[in-house]
Amino acid sequence: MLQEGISKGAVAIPAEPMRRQKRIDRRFLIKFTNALIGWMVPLVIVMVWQAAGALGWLNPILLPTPLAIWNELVHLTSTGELIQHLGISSWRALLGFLLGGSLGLAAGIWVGFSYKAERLVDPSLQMLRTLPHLAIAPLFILWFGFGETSKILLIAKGSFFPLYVNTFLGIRSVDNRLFDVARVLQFSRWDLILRLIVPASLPNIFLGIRLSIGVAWLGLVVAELMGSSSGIGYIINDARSFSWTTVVFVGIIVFALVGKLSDSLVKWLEGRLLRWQDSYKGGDKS
Amino acid sequence: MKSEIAARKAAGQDWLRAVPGPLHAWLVPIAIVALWQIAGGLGWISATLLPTPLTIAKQFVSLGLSGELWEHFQISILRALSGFVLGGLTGLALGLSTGLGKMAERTLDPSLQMLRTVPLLSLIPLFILWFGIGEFSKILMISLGAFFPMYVNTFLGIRSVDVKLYDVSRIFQYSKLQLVIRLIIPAALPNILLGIRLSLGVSWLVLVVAEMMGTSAGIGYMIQDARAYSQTDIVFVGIIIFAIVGKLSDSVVRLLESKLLRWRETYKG
Repeated sequence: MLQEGISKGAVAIPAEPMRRQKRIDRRFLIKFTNALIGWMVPLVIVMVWQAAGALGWLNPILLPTPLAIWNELVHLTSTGELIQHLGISSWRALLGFLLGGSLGLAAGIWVGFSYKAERLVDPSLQMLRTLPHLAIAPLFILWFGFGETSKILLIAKGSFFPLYVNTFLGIRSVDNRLFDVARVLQFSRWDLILRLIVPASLPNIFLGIRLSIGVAWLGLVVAELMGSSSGIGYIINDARSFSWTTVVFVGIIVFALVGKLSDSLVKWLEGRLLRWQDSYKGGDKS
Repeated sequence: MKSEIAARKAAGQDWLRAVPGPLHAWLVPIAIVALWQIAGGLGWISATLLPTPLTIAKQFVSLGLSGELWEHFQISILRALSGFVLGGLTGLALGLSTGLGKMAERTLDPSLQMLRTVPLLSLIPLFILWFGIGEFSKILMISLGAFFPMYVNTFLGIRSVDVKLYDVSRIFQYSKLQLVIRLIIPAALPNILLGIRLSLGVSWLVLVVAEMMGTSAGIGYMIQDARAYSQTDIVFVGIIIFAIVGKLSDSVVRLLESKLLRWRETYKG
């Protein structure tokens, strides 16, 4: 009996890591096949598209082949034209986002802290929020012309609200018991803000930043399409008027890539800064 | 300590307390509009840049009475609705299929998620190239905008159905169809309704942009046309209409939400 138990244990010890290894292998295999299946549809589409284009079934003015688009992308990058316009676009988006985002953050903190401000200011801001963001564009063009000011203000207006709403929500959702603890520790008002409220509302603020960047990017697209003489949106619109469809595609791809990249960057930053959060590690592992 | 804070709070609210609660929200807007009207009336601000609220209200009434507003409004609504219905239904159907089928999820979902990263409005020039500036490209654009929120939320809704309920449905020996109609759809309804709300919002936003990019009718056209002639009051009227309709459509879905989801226990609390 005892002998049996010991021998079982002795067998089980070396078997355990092997079994775990197998499980990891299988999990990896499942992940790999899933990714493969996921990529299958886009790959097949691109291949059929390329084949149909090469056989002359598609009108190259309407739908250039993926290879032609890729060549155009390489060409525009190597001449430096793309980088230059991308720089201008990014600068605009960044300025607008910084202006609108910091105002939104400040307003959110103010309204979050002050009962009076909440009663008085929040309803007005909520009313303004119902205005479709981009419907304001003609008004801005009327007021400030087609120049940089109207573009940056449009982007700023768009990125104000997500940050405002989420900062406000974040501050209001701080656990009340933590306030009691802070009072016991005799935190000064400044300490209270820096050491309790900002860290506690950081997840919401990050969500606000991510949403704001998305909206800023969207606002940039529209502002540049409406009328400008530089930037990715200008490239697209210019190419459209000359029916250079490959360039239109390149512009759209660049917009998509940069939008995705900026979002990933904030997500990564979020993961780093919020590492102390208990609930965070379990949730998002993919 | 607590009483001290309470006292300070009471002192801070002192003058606010003199005003009845429901009016608090209106204090700032009314003050701004009054100031705006006075400044405009005294000629401090240029009427072409910022017409007074009274002028805007007058223009609103006159446009409404001449029937012009109504005509543009009908066209815009029709566009937004047809785009929303087309895109929303496709999104619902695809969301159901990826939500219910493992294979559909693996093949379709990654591609759709990839497409979702493309900023929707940057596709407008491409759509204009392909389909011209006509109705077709606008409605397609709107439906593309309405598609994604609906798809994502339907999928999420189905996937968040409680597994225990599946087990119960197996004991009741539900057929596949019964399972969908009597368990999955009701359980995913909150998410689907959220999808409808987001979709409506996006279709309205896309409508605004699509109409400003080039049309000959609709509220967006009215705004763009007025901008070209510096008729700022008409621009304001158009923006106000966009805001009101957007808000109204959202409220309607919210109302529907509270009616349809009355059976939920968590909802009332």
